[in-house]
Amino acid sequence: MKKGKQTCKILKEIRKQIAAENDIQLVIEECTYQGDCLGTCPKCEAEVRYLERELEKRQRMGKAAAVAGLSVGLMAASQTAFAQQPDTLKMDSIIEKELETELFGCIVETLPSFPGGERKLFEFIGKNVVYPKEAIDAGVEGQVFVEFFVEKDGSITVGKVLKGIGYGCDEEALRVIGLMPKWEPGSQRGKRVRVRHTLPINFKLSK
Amino acid sequence: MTSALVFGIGRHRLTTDGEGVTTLVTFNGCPLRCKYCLNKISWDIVKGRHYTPEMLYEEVKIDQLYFLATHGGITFGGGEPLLQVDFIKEFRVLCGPQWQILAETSLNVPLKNVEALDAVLDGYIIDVKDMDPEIYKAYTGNDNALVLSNLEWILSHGDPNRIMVRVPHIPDFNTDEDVARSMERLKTMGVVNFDEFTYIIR
Repeated sequence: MKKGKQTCKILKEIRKQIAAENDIQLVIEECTYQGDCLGTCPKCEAEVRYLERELEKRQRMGKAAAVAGLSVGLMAASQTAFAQQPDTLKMDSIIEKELETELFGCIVETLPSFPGGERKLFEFIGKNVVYPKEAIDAGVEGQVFVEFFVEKDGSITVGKVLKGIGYGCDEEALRVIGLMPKWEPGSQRGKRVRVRHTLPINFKLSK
Repeated sequence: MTSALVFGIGRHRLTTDGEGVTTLVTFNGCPLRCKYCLNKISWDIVKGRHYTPEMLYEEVKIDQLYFLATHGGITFGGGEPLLQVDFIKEFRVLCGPQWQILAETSLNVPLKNVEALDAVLDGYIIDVKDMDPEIYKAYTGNDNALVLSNLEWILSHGDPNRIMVRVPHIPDFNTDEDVARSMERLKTMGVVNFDEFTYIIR
């Protein structure tokens, strides 16, 4: 079995255990994808987010979430199967086919960069962010963390707000991310790859 | 604002460095110049991405459920993570006490860095290269006095089980006998967990 598939299998078992322990209905469809994978995919990630939401709901209703240490035994049992995993970070441990798909938070040799570098990036954001009136009126300040993707051709796909402050600032942060010019794409061993990126957008009122 | 250059974030490492699901975060900057270094990009203190502890936390907390369920968390590597004292301390405040935070380190840093981070870290993965100063110097370009004194300090300030010491066979630099000698010396010092393996030459 390919390494990515093994990882996928273990992570799936962890999700199943969390769901069962907390009486959460989780219907996991059998993955039919035959190629190499990174151990996770948008569908797997969606299941994790679903579990998080369900656990939050339960906590709001005063029920304790049983998660801590739940799958420790499972990890120990799988230890033998994973004994051959690299023990230090090796850039080439991710096989070629995986690199041709999407690097979802994986290690990239050359990270994508804004044209002109980080300073230019923050200049661009500073020039383009319009402080929402609603936020000014409410005196709201803070950081909005935005997720986006730098595609293989350097173009930007706007993701979502990971942590927002509301009052129109979240929407404004997403708008500015969408305005960005093409980046220098990330690459791994000479191949261009899609890379997930997180950026904080600062909202600070001048005193 | 505290920030650090990070050149890699690798998710879903299973029992590779620690007992649970871990995310490896690798910092730029290293005091050593190991001949078979796998991550020479870490020597570059320009290439990489600047992260604040909060940016990193927002990015890696995507796997919080896995961390909590398996006693996993973050392994800081590099480069040399113990050069990032303020960053790791602030990160701990953000992630709270439940995530396991490990440092994959050479220990070739000033003692004050180790002292400052010891209470923040759950464990260490220490690559001592070879205990012989000449072999160490030939392979890394540096001497190992700090490694030994820092290791002694850690062993005298807590449970030795929080330490995993790597004793590599380094082709063309040490022999099986050298590795055995290193392990004997480390056992005398109080080390109980070893990872013996052979470096890959690329």
